[in-house]
This record gives sequence, C-alpha cells and structure tokens, in this order.
Amino acid sequence: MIDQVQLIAEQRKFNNCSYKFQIRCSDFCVEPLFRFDSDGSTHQNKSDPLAVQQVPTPHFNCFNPEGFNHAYQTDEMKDVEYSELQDMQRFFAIFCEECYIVFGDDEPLEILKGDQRELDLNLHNEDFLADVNFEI
Amino acid sequence: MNTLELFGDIKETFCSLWKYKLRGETMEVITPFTTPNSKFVSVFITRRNDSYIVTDGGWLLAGEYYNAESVNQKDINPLLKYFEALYELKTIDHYGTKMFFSSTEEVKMIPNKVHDLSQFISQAVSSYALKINDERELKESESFKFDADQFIRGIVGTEKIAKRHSVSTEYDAVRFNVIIEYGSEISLVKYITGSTPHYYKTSLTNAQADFNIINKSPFNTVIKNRIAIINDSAPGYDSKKGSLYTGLLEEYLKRPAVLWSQREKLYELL
Repeated sequence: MIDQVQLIAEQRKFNNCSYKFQIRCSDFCVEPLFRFDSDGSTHQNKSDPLAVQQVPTPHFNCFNPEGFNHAYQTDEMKDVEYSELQDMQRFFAIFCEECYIVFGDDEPLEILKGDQRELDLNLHNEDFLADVNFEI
Repeated sequence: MNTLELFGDIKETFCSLWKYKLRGETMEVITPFTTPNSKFVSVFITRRNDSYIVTDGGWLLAGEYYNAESVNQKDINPLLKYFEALYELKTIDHYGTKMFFSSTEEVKMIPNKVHDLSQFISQAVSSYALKINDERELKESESFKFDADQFIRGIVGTEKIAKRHSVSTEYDAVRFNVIIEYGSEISLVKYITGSTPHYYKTSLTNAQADFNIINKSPFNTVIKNRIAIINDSAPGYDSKKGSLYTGLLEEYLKRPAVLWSQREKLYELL
C-alpha cells in the first residue's frame, strides 16, 4: 500500500534564483515523480531527435511512458531572464498548475521561504563568478 | 536528400545545440557535449582584466551533473587528476566549491578553452559513471558467490572442496568457482550472474569457453559433473535473450544448467 506523497521545496543558500520543487513518493519510486528545476544543468531528452534534445532550465522533469526521465518547458518558462527567477511565487504557481495542486477552494498555494528569524536580504549576485578570485 | 544536403543537415543540427544564458557579466554556454546520464555540459565565460576565463563554475564537484557524493570520493581523484593534467586546467576553491578553469588573453583561443573544459566535464562524469557501474557489478557477483559457495559447502562439506580454482598450472587461465574432489574424479562448477545484461552475457560466454577448453583437455576423462549455476534473480538475467547462449553452454556441460531458484537440484549433482 502506498504511504505518503510529499511536496518538497528546496532553495540554494545565498542564491534565490536556484530552487527545486519535487513530488516524491518513496514507497513507489526512489526518484522524484515530478520536479521543477529553476537553475542548473541542461537536460538531454535522449529519445528525441538531436535538434530538439536540449531542454535548459527552468524546466520540468517527469518520466515518459517508456520510463525515461524527460524534461520540458511550458511557454511561460521559455526565454526567461535569469533575474526573473527570483520571483519564486510565480514559478511555484506554474508548478502547482502543471501538477494540479490546489489548496482549499482553488486558492493558489503560497510559498514561504527562509528562516523567519533572519532578515530576508538579497545577498545574491546574478553573476555567481563575480567574487571568484581566479589566479591566472 | 543528397550527400551534401545530408551533411548540411547534420552540421546545422549540431550547431543548433550551442546556446547561451546571461548571468550578469558571466555567460553560460550550453554545449553539445553530453554525459552518460543525459545532461548537456555547460561552461561559463567571464573576464578578469585582460584575460578570458572559461570554467565549469564548480558544477562538476557540486554534483550538478552527477551525484555529489560519488564525484567527491577520494579514490576517484586519480582520474580527475589525469583529465585535469590532460587539459592543463587550474583550480580554485570558492567557499568550499572547487572550480576548474582555463584562461587566455587571446579571443581566438576561447573556442579551444571551451572545447577543453567541455571535454573535461563530459569525460570526468563518464569515468564516474563507469566506476559506479563496475562497483555495482563487483558487489553483485561477490554477493552471489558468497551465497552459492555457502550452499555448496552445505551439501558436500568443506573437505571435498579443492583449495585451487584451476585443474592444473598448465590450465591456470581456465578458472572455476568450485572444484569438488571425488577421489580420482572431479566436478567443476561455474556461477553465471551479472548486474546488467552485458555483464550477464559476459559471464555466460566465459563459462562456455572455459568448459569447452577443459572438455578438449586431458582432464576431460576425469570430470564427473560439469555444473553451471545461473543466478536467475540477477538484475542482468534475461532468460529469453540468454537462451541461445545457454543452449551452447549446456552442450559443453552435457546436461542442463541449474537455475538458482531451483538449486535443490544440486543435491543430486554434487
């Protein structure tokens, strides 16, 4: 009997453009059943023709009918500027709509992030290499 | 489509796989290089005064392409060092994340650096994947060997089991999992298992070769029973695909192979 289905949200420390939302059910499958990645590596959909295999972030990840990991973008996720990813609520709403998650009377779920005891200062620099001291 | 059109199509397709994303003053270049676990490699280009830096951005060891725990294992370091030296890369530690990079002051050399970093990342991830694959296979075969050894010991006792795994020094290359001594005769046992269909098939064909060689040797006349035990609960076991090979093996065994799920048949054979 399948136990719990979990909704998990994770954000990288000091980078509020890099976060993931996942639906997991460990009784059913080790891997997340459905996932949203805002940032990170570009996925390869191996079963597609080469010209359309690349799916950059932000993207959704799911399993196709053949059981392979498949990534895709909806129209709202294409050509997104990196700084737009700071609006986590917007992309969380897209995620919830895509996997039919609602709360109460079709109200959108609100995502609260961070430690409420700390000031929510934006420490992130869009250029993550800006303060790296490359010794040439 | 004629040959030239075909070539044009291939070239255009590959070219379309080069994409970019702007991250402030850094540009992420998404390359056509891939990893065994279905990711396209990205490299990052930024400037420091007159130099152009091309780097993996720390993504390799941060686990962006492959499980972070695996890529940071100490014993994988020699492979990483090899590739690092091959592409003449430098490293820098940034808040606990190690980044690999190469630099140039010449714009025309940037594509070279992009090529080198991309190859490095792709090859490093491939070597992790291969190592994990090999480790899984070793674990699987060791586990089955332990169970099968124990089962056979339970039937014949330890005294009859020969300490050696080959019939003589001349035939030392032909190895058996168990050799059982019955006075002037011996029985030879081989285990067939595999964590993937590839390893399973290798195990099967090795067994064929070994029994074939021993059957053509002078030892043929002193063999009481030739036994193959097939691990039918192995991840790589495929009864349909393996049946052609099993048939040939059974010719050399002069009897059917024994499935692990029917191992009680070994009581009659041993």
